[in-house]
Amino acid sequence: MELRQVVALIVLSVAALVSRSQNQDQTPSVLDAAKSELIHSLDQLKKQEVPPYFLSYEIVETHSVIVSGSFGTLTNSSENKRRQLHVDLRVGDYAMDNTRQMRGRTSNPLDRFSNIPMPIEDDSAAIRNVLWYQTDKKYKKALEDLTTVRTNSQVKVQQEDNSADFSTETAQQFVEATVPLAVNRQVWEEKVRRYTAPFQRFGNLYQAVATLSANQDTRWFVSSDGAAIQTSQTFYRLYVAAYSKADDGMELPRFESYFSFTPAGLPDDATVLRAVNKMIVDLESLRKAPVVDPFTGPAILSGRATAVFFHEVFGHRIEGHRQKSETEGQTFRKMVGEPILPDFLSVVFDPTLRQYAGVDLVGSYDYDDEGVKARRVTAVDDGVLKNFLMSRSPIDGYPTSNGHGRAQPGFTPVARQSNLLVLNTKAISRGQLKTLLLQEIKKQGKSFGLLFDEIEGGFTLTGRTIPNAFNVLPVMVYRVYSNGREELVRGVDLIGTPLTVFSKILAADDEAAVFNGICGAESGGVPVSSTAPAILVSQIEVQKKLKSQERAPILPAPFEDK
Amino acid sequence: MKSVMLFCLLLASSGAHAREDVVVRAMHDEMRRSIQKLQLQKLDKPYFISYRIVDSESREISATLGSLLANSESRVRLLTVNIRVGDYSLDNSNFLSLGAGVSGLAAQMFAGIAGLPLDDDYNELRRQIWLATDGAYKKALEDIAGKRAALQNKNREDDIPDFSKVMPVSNTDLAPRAELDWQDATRLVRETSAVFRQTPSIQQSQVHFSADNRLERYLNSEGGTFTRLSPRVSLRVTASTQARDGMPLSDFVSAYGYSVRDLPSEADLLLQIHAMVLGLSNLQAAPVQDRYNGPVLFEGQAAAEVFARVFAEALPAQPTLISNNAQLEEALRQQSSNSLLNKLGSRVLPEFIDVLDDPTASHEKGNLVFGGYKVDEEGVPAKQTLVVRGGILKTVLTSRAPVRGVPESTGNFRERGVAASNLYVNADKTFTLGELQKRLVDSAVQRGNPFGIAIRRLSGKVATLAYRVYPDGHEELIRNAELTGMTVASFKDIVAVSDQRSVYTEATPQRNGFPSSVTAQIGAPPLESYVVPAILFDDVSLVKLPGNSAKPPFTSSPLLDK
Repeated sequence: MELRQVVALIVLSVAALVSRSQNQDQTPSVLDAAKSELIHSLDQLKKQEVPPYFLSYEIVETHSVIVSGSFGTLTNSSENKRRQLHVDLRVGDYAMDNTRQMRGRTSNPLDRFSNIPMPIEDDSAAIRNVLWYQTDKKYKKALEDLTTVRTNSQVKVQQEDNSADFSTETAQQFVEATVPLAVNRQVWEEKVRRYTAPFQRFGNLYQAVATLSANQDTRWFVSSDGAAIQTSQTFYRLYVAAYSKADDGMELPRFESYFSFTPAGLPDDATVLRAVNKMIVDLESLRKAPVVDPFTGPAILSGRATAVFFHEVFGHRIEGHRQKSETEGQTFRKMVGEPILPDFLSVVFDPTLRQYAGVDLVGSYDYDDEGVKARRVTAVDDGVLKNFLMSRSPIDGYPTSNGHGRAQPGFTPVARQSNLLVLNTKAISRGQLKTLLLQEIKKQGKSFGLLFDEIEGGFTLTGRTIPNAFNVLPVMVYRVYSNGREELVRGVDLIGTPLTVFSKILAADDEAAVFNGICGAESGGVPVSSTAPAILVSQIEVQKKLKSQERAPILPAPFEDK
Repeated sequence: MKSVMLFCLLLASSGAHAREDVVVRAMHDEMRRSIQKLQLQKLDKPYFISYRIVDSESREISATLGSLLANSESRVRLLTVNIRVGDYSLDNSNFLSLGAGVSGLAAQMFAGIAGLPLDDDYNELRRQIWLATDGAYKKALEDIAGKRAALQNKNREDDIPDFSKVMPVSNTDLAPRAELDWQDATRLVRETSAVFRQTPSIQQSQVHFSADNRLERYLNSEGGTFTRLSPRVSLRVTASTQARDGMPLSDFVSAYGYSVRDLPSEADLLLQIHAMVLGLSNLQAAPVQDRYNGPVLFEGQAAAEVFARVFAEALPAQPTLISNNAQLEEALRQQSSNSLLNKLGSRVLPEFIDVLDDPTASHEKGNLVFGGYKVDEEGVPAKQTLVVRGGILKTVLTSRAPVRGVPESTGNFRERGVAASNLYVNADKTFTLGELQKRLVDSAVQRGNPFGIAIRRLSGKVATLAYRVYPDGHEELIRNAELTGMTVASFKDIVAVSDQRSVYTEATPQRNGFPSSVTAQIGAPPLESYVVPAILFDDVSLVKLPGNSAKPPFTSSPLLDK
């Protein structure tokens, strides 16, 4: 070995040792490291010809444990910790900056997402090095984008909405302690086996899974405005799913899911096993249930079905950025101050509410992903449209954020829903609601109406180039005959267009059913909740569910083949 | 009649052995039931079934600048089912149906792969194997119908069978598990990554360590079985930066082993990292080489890389996929015409060179080679294959899917595609490296060049460590020249090779263009080792790396901020 190499080796090893002991003496927090780099990068970039006017870093740590079981056995047990970075760097000014959506061009979805892994330990040099490198990269892209934005706005027709690209907000400082995950993996492994064991004896069930997951979500946010925020939240979730197949090949799913902020909030074993038994009974009933043809007529949507319905039909259409984008349908944009729902209904979005009717609401948070303080927003007051959900991207008439700028880690935030609440001032009982349904059936001369009980979820399309429809995917649907008899049916999807359906809501009951879920849109998957009473709609439309063309398995299940 | 009896006998004998292992017993019992009873109406019955179950326990640790980026473990058990209907001369394999669009393509790639319970529960293993077998059988029926229809109106150009016959063997290959001191591995990763804290000229760096113990169990209906435990440990250090004009520069250090003991010592790794950093910083200042046409000497890793990427990649041969889409089939045909299959019997290398594929090798002069195995993934026993003798191409590497001119399997089906194992370039006429360098310069000067070029490190087509070699012996580093126009045919004109050879290992490269087998690759790709001398080519073209690069960062590295 050459002397030069030996010396170099010794120098490197000693240096490595020295730097490690230095780390042990001082333990800088993530916020401090992020602040240092923000100042360092910004100070130097200020000397550039086109300096940034705004810079922020959001670092999100996700520590998760996932344990899954199937038919009484364990299929997965894993733990993972990662941190991701999102950099928001802006050049230009608040009125026009590099983030403006360009008209006539489809935006590249990759621009909205960056997968930048961050060190999972609180080491200042390592954290700062990633922030520095990504800031420089973002700055160069921002310069390019600003030039394109400026050209695009000159070449295209005058925009309908002339609001600014970025709002001015008060910078927040807040630090809350991180909440550790409390999971005993072995206990959870036993649970997923136990919860799925009852499905074992059925050869005509083709999937039966249970997943327990725990997520600790810690977010750090610093900005050139002076914001410095550390928040931490844990989510626990149990999800049980099974599916069977009807003789005509139609897949019949059945799900149950539970969310809470603490492990104690998850249901106990007895409750889960009761739900599992109901799933088994329902699946067998679904297999034998008749198929419903396309139908238009009156229907009751249960509280949970209504909750999903409002999330899809209404919630997505009042997300602020959609009102500005010229490719969006903008269903409600010009209707502020007008009645869009019956006067006994109001719709509120409240991320500051952590519980409702004894159930944890997963759409709650204290600060959104742009560092803006969360707050309650009244979207519809006694049937009249009042407000939109806003991030820091203003729209005409709404120059500031109302704390709804949200994103999955790594994505660019846009206005998203939080905890949606449908409030009813003319509550009647479910019995009375059903009576009204029967009256409506007779009035319309139909032989039956529908009752939507359990739902799988839904999706909605808000673009301008496609029909503005929504689709809620029901799992347990019943025909309700004019004599009140209920009969389970299968094969229906609930469809419609938002404005028509809203105008046909006749009444709502006294229920407050909570639906917790993950909503996926441009800024990724974010946890949301929706709470609503059951409603009676005078006219609902259903279409045939897409049926799987796969036959049931040819051979019987091995344990049934004697 | 005779073959049926032989077949039953083989199954019976493997049955006794299987009883000891619950997983193998479940595979065996379900296979026997399926072969005997699985048939849809009057359609084809399966004539061949194979199951492969892989238990993978892996751990990954990565770090940057002394701080962890990821530290996770996972345990997964996957089943791969292969079902064939028809017969050995024409079956459902090798067929790509384009009717179903992108989702259909995805379905094809993942067909026959299923997750299995981690618990050794006989009933549940059999249930999942049953469902996966049923799905694979239905797909096989669709595929053979499509294939028969596609071939109906064509003359089948090759009268070669779809599946070659082999004598079934039983094999057990249980290498000792890679036991790890998790603390040790973490410390190694942290300390090697911390070295870069002292090298602010490097913009980004990472150390990635992974350890994987894979247990494979294979069984087919001909009676072939194997059980194999393959431990693997790998370490990779990457560093990247930019030259003053913005050209991206990167390099890596990698090491493989069957256990941590096989990896280089920490001191050795630090030396290699130091050399890499020195190399990169020299490159930052090095000049760019304009076009060069002339003799080039590939040394060390560069020789292995150019041999692997350009020549060896053409050695694996699989039949061209048949499709129900004429355009696709034409495209696939074009692609496969690049392989060496058409050169059987032709001279492809100089007369003094042989090439041997040797999966039975485990060492080469004190270095480990990692491409070895006892049976391939179709259960065919490993054997040495002399691919090139005296410069003449004697055979290509194949699986049980015959190609024109090579009707038998060479035992090279690895991880869902044909691949080399350990490739040896053997020469009976060699020179010392010094002699080759002299010949390089002499031949360059004869052509009117003031220097020859020696490439010592190659990444794909980019020479990351290359030198102008002058007649007086002095060398000048040049930056990132790109090889152009090198094809398999270029190897015919090799002038001379060295006596000393280097051993180089890498993961099987992702093949460009359409997947050679229509199935996804799950898990870490297999390793291939190359034992290659330095190679002097008479005429190689190098050009300046094309494209504009981003400018170096406008801000200074925070590592300088102390």
